[in-house]
Amino acid sequence: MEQDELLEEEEEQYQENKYLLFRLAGEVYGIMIGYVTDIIELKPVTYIPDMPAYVKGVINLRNKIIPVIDLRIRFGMPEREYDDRTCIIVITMGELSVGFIVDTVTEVKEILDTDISDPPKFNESGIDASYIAGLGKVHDEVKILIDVEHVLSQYDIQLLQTNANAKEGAVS
Amino acid sequence: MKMRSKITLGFVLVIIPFLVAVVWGVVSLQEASEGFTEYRELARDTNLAGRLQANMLMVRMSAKDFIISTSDDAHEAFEEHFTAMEGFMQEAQQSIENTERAKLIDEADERVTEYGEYFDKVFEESHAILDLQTQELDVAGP
Repeated sequence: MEQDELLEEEEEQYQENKYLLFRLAGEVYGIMIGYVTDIIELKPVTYIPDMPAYVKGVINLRNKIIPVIDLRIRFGMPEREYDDRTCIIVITMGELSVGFIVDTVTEVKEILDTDISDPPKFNESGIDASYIAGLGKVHDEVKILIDVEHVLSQYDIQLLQTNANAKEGAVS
Repeated sequence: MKMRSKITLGFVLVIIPFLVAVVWGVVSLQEASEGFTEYRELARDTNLAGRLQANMLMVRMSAKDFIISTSDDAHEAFEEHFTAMEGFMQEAQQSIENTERAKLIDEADERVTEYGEYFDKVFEESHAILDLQTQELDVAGP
């Protein structure tokens, strides 16, 4: 009985432990697959004025307007030319769908809770690392696990939501 | 009131709350048991959906890799993940009993089949392009 319960618990964690891994500036990052709804090749992005620099614009994905964010810029990394490996990972948080531009996606990997360490604390240095959910250890490598809900501030979410809705209205 | 009536009344007064407590306990226990069964079912479905989603993403990634490289490796990877995904899809269709969820799985299965058919077309077309290039263009020269 106890074994059954443990098995249940283990199974239950399955989806939570699966991460879509992608590369940004040579490092590997992970997003919980529960948030990921699509992976698409880079397509033409419509520029939206007066947006934060990391918001590259919007795309029309199957008649849905989705804001697209360049994660390199969002994380303060140097920009680079997009190539055929550049991808957009479409994630959904509640009613908002957002596309993250990444260098390339690599694989879906299971990382157990026991292999995840807490993110480093930068409170005193003033660095905002709240978007790091943890550091996953896979063999000798470290994967930076992203807390999707902290990549964007509440202000950003509202701004993107409003713009996407306005664009969607214009399209329909 | 006679002593006999008093004793009977006292007994009834004690037994009624006792019976109510017993019935309440049994009903609550049954509800908890049903809730737990539902929870286990939901946990199993979530687990299966997680596996399915993981394979769907792997299929999507290998399809993208094939479109970029048109390599045999990428095609093999696609077939491997697609077969695994079909397996999980079948498992989901057999084990998911909730009507609403089962309907969603059927819908997903239809779309997956459609996706597979379109990928086969992409595969055939990419080979046709390659054949044209090697057998016609390269032979004819610039």
